[in-house]
Amino acid sequence: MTAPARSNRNVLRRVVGFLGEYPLIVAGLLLFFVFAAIQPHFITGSNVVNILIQASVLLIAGTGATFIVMTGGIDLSVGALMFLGAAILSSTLFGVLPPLVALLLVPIVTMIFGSLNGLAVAYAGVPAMIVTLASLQVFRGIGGHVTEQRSFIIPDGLRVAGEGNWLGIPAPIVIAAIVVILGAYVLRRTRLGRFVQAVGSSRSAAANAGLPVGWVLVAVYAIGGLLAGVAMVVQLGRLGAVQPTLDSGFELTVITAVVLGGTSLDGGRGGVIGTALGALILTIVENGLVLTGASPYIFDIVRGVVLLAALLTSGAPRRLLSWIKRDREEVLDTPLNGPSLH
Amino acid sequence: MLHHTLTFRTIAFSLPKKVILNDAPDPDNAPETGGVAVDLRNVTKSFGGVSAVRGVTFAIAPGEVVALAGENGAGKSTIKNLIGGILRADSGDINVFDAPQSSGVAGLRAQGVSTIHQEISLFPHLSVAENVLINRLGQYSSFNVSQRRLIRDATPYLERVGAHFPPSTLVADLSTGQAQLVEIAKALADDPRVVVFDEPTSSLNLAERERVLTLVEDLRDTGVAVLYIGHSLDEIFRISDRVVVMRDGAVVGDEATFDLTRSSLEQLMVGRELAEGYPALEKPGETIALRVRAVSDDFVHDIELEVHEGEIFGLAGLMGAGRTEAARAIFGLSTATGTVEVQGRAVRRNDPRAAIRAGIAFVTEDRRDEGIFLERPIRETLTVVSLDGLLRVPFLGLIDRKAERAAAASQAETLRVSARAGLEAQGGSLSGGNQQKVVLSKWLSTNPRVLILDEPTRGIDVGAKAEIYRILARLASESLAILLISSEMEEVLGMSHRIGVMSGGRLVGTLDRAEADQAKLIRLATGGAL
Repeated sequence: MTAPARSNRNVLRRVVGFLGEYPLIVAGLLLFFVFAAIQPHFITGSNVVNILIQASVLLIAGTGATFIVMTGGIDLSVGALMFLGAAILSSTLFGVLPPLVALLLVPIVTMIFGSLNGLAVAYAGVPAMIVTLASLQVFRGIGGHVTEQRSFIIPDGLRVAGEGNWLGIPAPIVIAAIVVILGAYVLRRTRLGRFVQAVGSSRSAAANAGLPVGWVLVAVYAIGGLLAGVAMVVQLGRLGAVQPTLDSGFELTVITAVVLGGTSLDGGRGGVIGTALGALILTIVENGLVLTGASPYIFDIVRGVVLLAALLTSGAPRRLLSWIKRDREEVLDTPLNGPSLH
Repeated sequence: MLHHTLTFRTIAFSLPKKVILNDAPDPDNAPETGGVAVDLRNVTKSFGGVSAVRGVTFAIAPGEVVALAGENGAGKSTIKNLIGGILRADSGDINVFDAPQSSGVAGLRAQGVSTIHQEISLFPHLSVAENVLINRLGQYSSFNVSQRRLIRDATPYLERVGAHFPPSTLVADLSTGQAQLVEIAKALADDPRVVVFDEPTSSLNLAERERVLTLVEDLRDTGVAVLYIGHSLDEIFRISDRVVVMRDGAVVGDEATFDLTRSSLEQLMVGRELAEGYPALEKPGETIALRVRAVSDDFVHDIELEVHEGEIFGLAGLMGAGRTEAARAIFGLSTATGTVEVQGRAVRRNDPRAAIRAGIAFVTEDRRDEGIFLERPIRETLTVVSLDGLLRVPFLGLIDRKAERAAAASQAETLRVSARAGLEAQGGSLSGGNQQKVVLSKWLSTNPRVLILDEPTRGIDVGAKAEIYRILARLASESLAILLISSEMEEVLGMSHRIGVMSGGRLVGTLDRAEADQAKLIRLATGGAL
């Protein structure tokens, strides 16, 4: 091979490698252009800011869920946990504590409840699906009990995380950006992140290597709970009210964003950046459908189709990549372990 | 003749069941061979531009056992999958009884081809009988499949493979070895004329292994064509009429077993002369590195042993004798009583992290599921136990990526892990031998004083095995104490200073290398006295 051809191939390999890791970028851009073509208002600066604000709650909660799914777990209770946080904030903390203290206390409360999930998964040996299916109902029940199923209006003092503007940037965007970047950093570059990936890749290998498996599992559910609380603080700030059905079914949207972002439900593979892209795509679809005047009844259909389409096509960049780097692949004895990306 | 000693050894190995010396298959005595059962001509298959099988040509006659030998990655599995109908060849012809191979597994079954895969493909929540007859369930009433009738019909096949558990048992409740026997019974129920065995004995105990080898001989005698894929040269010499040797996807030898010796076969497989046998071991030191006192748990009782610095202590025994369980108890992976000391200092019990800190390392039996992170970069497996020393800000747990990469690279270098796609490739892309080396390097990075290895060479090809032996000898010479668990008697005999034999969860005897031989080990392992 000649030198220029080789370097071209390297550049191509890198680009495709990056896109192979995040195939959603292509899908997101495509959707973006489609909506822009239909409705020019879609690409105005104010709408882009709008999309980011709308995506913020999902970005924050999805980051927490990514940690859980990376260990091979799942959290069905995230929506209920957010409601629980909102209920406690609106009916007990408010008026008793200064607004800022009340706001800070909420993520701590949800973190504690979240780690209860983790304790059950880690030490009682109950599958995460069942633990969080149970806690979904318990959390929502506690929230309903505390609020007596009433609705509350949130006073302005508690709305800073939703309404505020920091350095000219809306607070939800700032908070979501910090959470996503920090989350990605922790998962990729810290010992905890490495342990999360190890536990998800093979729990018994991690245990045999002397990793603190139980501690890691509690930690990821605690992170999930913490970020559910943060997401709720932002969401309440934006909505300005709590009602009994708040975030009912939100767990499915969160899991959709995580899976759409390429995190494997078996654990071990995936990441926060992928989830962020998944959350943005879901929001772009929704925002675009609203702006183009589509019937609100089809939103769920479109979301489901996007998820399936993404999963069906996600292998394409990988296949392209393996074709490009075929000269480096090891000869594998079984085709079932065929060439792969990493 | 070397060949005959080997045959004899295999028999001694399976004492006391079988006393008749089963000499090499007599070519004149073979049942009349009506043509060719399976015929591969110039078969080629590649995956994504990488050729796995190149121009392979060989044939199997009815009533003949052909062994397919070769190192991992030589293309044996691809051949198995091509004959078994799981893959289609890119070019070339595969004929079954002079007719072109039909496509798909069901069509092949009609042609009489059964493949017994190494990975067990049974339905865990169905009974043994249902699994055995699964391909024939259509013959039963579609409304009410009578369990009694299924059990009656499945029993002969189960008896034939020597399965002594009730046919109504759920497959999920079987051991791996038992499930393997069911898998074979299922293949027999299809009434095959061609059977492909893929390492059928790797998870079996001695008695089961003997039963399966006898079964292969029975099949041959009734005119079935058998393709036998296996790593054990003993088995290949015992049962095959012909050996087809593959290397790098091509056939490099097709010889009557009678004309081969062990070393000529190894040479064909590896493509070069192997260093003779096991490496020399240096004299161990005086200091006791590992002292185990009265360790008991649910599986093992009163384990007492000492391993000196620089000593390799082999642990032999039959499958289920409690060797793995003893290692797990010593390492702290079970709730055990008793004491474990490393260099005179007691190790906190039942806490693997304390064991690691005290200097014990444990290379587990199942490296794919319990040792290496298949989907993560190789680098991450290499550094996972020594990550604490690779942090930039220990309090926050920030990983120093440069230091980590350097550590991983030097570890891989020390044991000469050959990862052609680099250390960022997934663990699962490595060959078995290299995976084992990665797991070993992972543990060596903790600077252990005591290394426990459970079946370190299982499923590893000849060349990589020899390399692992050299590594172990070198580590011992660097005064590491090694506890070596192995089901291969030869390996234990060749690689240990002293050998402990386990039976029924107890350590029933310890022998010096000089006084040990296979017969003594077997006698102890089967509950006899010396």
